[in-house]
Amino acid sequence: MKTDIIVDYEKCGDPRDCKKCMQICPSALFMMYSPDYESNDPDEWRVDVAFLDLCTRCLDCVKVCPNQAIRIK
Amino acid sequence: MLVIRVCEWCYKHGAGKKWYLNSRNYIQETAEEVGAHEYIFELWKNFEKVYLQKIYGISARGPGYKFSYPLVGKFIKRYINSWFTKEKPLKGRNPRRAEGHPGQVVPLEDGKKILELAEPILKVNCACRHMTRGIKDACCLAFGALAEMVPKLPRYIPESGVEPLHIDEAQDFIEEMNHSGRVNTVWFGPVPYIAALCSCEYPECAATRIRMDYGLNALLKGEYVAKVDFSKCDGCQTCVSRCQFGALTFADSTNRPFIDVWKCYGCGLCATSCPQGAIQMVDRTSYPTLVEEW
Repeated sequence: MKTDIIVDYEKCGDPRDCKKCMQICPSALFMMYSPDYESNDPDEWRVDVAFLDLCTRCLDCVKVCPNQAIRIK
Repeated sequence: MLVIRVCEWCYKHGAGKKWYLNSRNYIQETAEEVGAHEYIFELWKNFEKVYLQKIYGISARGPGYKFSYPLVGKFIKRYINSWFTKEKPLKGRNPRRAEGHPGQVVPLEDGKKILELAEPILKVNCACRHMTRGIKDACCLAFGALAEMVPKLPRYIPESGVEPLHIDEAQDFIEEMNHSGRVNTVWFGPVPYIAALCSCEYPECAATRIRMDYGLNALLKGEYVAKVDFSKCDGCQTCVSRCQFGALTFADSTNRPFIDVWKCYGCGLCATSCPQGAIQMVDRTSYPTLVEEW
């Protein structure tokens, strides 16, 4: 079964303050990265999911997100 | 048939010893020879993005889908694996592909010997745990070129600051890490320069994850494997919870642990936890069939 996890960056705030999805994921699939390639101390951060093939669809991340920013397809 | 009974790196970079015990791999000249400062700065500055791009480059749906393609999957995997151990050119390997930047599992004793060779030793925040869990956990020890670069990378500076550790402090620290169940690993940055000694855990560690789940050689098995002395073992099961690699199980019928040497990474966590001292770390190369199992 192919899984897609979509994070709505307009709803998601600064992941450094929240990080609820990153810490609840039983498979540790969420990754925090900065789209700013040049800075050595970036200010803008996003969460994204790597290793979608390891996702078990437990939906813990969808439930825990305070901004309803995570969607699973 | 001629079999070289040492690991490939020990043969090339070890000067007759294990590669990570050769002091030449720690000195400033080697760092400059391989361009370690630029390489490490580029890699650590964009650590998260470099890692994610590499994963997405394989497949946005997770590498497992790509690798399961018949034939093509195998070829792609072999190609990506060739990056980690790439040794040429000496200077100018691509940090965005982690070329020449693999790690290897080391047991606590060897970790302590490494700390006698490295200078300066700096405690830094783990880049992997910051990426996967958003935690700032100062559990990695940076050496030489990496230690010089860390002050320029604010998110890796721990609360305790950038004061170098004394050898004894560093040795006590990795012992503490080992006792709390973390695997000591040594890191090339890039081959043959040695840049760090980390305390890794599955699944947060980026390299352990891709090694365990996808068989990518970002982390290599150690120079040892564990062996149980059944006459000393009293069946207390302390070691059972220590193995992160699924190599150690407890067999009820014999009342002794069973270690699958093919899966053993030689971290020695089971050995350091054993109250009877019944688990020994033996050289991997003393098993003819494990010589090529890294």
